Amino acid sequence: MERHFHEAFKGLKEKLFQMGLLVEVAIGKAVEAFLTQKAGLAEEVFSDEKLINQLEIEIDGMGHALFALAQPVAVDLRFLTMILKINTDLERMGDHAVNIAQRSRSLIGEAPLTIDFPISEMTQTTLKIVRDSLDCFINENTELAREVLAKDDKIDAYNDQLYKSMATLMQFDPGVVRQALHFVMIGHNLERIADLANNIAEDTIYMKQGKEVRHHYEMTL
Amino acid sequence: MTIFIEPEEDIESEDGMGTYALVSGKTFETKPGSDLLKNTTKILVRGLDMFYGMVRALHGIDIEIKEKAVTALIGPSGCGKSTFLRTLNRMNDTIPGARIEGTVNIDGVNIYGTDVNVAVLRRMVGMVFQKSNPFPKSIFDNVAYGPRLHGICDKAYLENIVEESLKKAALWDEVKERLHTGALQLSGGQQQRLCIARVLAVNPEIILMDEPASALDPLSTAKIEELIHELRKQYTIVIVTHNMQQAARVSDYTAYFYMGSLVEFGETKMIFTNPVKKETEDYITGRFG
Repeated sequence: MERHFHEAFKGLKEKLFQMGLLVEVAIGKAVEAFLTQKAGLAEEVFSDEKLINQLEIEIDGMGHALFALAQPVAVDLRFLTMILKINTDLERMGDHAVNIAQRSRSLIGEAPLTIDFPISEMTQTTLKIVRDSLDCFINENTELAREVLAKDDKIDAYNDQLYKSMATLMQFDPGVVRQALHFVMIGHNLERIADLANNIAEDTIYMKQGKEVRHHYEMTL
Repeated sequence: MTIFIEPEEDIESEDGMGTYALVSGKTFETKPGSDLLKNTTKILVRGLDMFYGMVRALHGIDIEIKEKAVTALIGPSGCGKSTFLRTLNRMNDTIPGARIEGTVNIDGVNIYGTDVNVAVLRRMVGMVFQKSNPFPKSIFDNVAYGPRLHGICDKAYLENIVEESLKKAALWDEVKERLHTGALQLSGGQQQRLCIARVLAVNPEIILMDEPASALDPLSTAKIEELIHELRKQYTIVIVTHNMQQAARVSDYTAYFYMGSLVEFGETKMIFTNPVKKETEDYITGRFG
């Protein structure tokens, strides 16, 4: 028998999905703003962040109220707990998008640096991981969640490659140090975004199956 | 809309249930869209003191019960919740030595006025008790009892009332094939829903519930709670419960009583996430009571 407060749970999930979409768009805009030096795009990211923060507060409020009013147990308890964790992770992703957008602002007017690294590919792969992680939670798809976790190392590998590439570039041309460092930080931001998306995948498995997979816990058993 | 003041003359009504007119010594029909119907406070209580002989059981209660919402009354045993509930349909009148001071207004009319017809009041303000009390009659006759008492004899009309009431009480599907079997053969949860159907059959506007699920198993309790959630779309409901979690689940507003006084009243969401009074917080967190 569905209880009346399960409708509120669905509403909360929908709000979280809205927030996830906003975050995904903000990340894409932020990297594009950096690569194309379009100031307008950066400003859009800052506006998006305000909406993301507002949603974070609303979702927290709704979640806390539901804990008090519905007294969830078992899967409902896991669901609500994970919603609040994912809420925080999405807001952190938004912060990383803002960090990238801020870097784009500081480079406006400078000649763009051409680098021997597929930053767009790294961005698209990160965005796919974010999208998949949201999909797996919204659709309670633990198979997709495990696929997301299996790709954990891909963005780490991109980040390592970017770091080495920028280190080499800075050695040979100290004049590009400032711009190169921005690329290094953006790589770090994208790597953190992918880590946060992994958290969402882990939370999905815990929510659906009650299995703890954080920090490769399953492998320690 | 029904009011419970004696009309100066009998008024024929479309539903056969006695839709009386509003009073101030005169009668007139109330129509949808009238000012009264726009009023979102259904029950207004001001300065209510309640005495059992010399003992004061309620102290200066001021509260506004909202229309078409569920208001839960919580508090420790003996705090006056059920006493207050019974003041809303004058059930305390049946207790020797019981008297009130202050006012209880329903739709702007003081129900303790001298010209109030208490029987009509109790039709408008129905009550469901902790222990279900179906009559030793058939399921059909239980629900039809009230309408028959109000003069409805038409068989088809009665059947319609019974079916509608049982549907509203979420019991129809379970009993439709055996309406003429004994009500006492039903389970505890079904008997309680039958009692709710019995109340609904006389077309109330307010339903008072005194711990309606405390004697029931968890699944029956859940069914009653979902029923309350549905009924609030049409009726004003006031429920006494010892189960704070139930109050949180089913109600829109919560009133915390302690030793005959109203300590705090507010939206349930606020009471259970961020109450104003420390005494309320101590009670709902189990630190007291």
